[in-house]
Amino acid sequence: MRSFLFHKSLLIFFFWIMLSPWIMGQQKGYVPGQGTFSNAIFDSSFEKALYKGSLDISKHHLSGLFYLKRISLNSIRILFSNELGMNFFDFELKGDEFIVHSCFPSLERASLLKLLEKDFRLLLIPDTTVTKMKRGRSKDPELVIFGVKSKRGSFHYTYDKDSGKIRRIQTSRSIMGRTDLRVYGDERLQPTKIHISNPTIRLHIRMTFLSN
Amino acid sequence: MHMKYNLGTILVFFMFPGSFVFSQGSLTEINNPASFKQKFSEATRKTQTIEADFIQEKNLSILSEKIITKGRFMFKKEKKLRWEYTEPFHYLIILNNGTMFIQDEEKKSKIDIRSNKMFAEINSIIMGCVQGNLFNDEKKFLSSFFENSRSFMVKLKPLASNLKEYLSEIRIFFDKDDLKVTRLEMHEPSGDYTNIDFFGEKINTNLTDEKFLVP
Repeated sequence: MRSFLFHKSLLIFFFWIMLSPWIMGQQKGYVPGQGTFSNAIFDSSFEKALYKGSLDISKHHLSGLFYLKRISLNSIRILFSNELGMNFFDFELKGDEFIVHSCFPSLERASLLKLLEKDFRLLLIPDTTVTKMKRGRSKDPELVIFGVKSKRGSFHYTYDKDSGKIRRIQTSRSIMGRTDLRVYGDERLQPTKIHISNPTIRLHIRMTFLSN
Repeated sequence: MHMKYNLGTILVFFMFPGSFVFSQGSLTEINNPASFKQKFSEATRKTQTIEADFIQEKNLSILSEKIITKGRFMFKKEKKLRWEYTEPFHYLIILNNGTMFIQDEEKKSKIDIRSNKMFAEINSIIMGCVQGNLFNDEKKFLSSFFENSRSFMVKLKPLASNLKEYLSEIRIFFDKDDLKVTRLEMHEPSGDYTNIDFFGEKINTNLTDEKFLVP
């Protein structure tokens, strides 16, 4: 009987050791959006920001200014214009809606708009539809990685361990190819640099913070 | 970026009323613009170089916001232009006899305008705006002419369908005394518009060709 109890305790102890990173993770709040690690790059206090930036698609290079503004709690406007002030596009993410207020004719293609919507949603709207999460291993001790499944798709979120800020979001599987979103900088309200890439269609969006 | 009517704007309005074209009375249409065209043609003939600072305001109609950028431009006859943004970022465009050079932060690119129809059109519009003679291009624009006590204004509506898609109207304002371009307005179909106000203009100075060199 003692031997049985000893082995049972050992087994429980063994399982506890095996699962401890996950359990401890849950206890310490290692859950995007629910504790130390936020699921938002731009949180709800974000109001507006002006970025110098560029959009490269295939061989085409567009440069100018990205202007991001919160219109209401569930709506953010994204405007991209060239340096002379002419709009390339003016989009709005409003709840689940994606509104195209204006778009340069050569950019107005359904597949591209869908991809831009997905990328900007990833950047600007925190994912509140997470159904499954698993902490992964990071080679860098300064970073924490989570595999995340949500109604939006499957992703890898990479966090800065100390600050709990998102550093990278990668889509795991997608027909349109893999989106790789990286953010840099320690600004409180918004990242100082953003790079969104989708190698499949050679799309690169680069943004450098200018002002609020 | 500023709110549309902040204290600074109101102060500037009262300190420098001359810089606001609309404060000089409403503009009325000129029925016979031949006199203006002739005066302008003479003034252009005498102009060899222009240099000026500019303040550009992009007005976002729905967001009630302005995006403000500043810079300096230089023009030298026949076809040399240096358009440089200095605040809040650095961006340089040089147009020199058929070549367009762009420096965007670290990225540099050179385009042969003659081999690219779109850039050739952009080049002719920029040159036409800076020199103010865009209204001479009757195939591309429908022009109408206006004046008040201090200014002439030329309103240009694009005729080409590809241009109409991103520009609904260009307005060029001229000082009535010396016919210098004082303001450029570009209106978009969305309702957004961009104003570029020129100031500290110098005419026929010794602008060296080095300023327009394409590296």
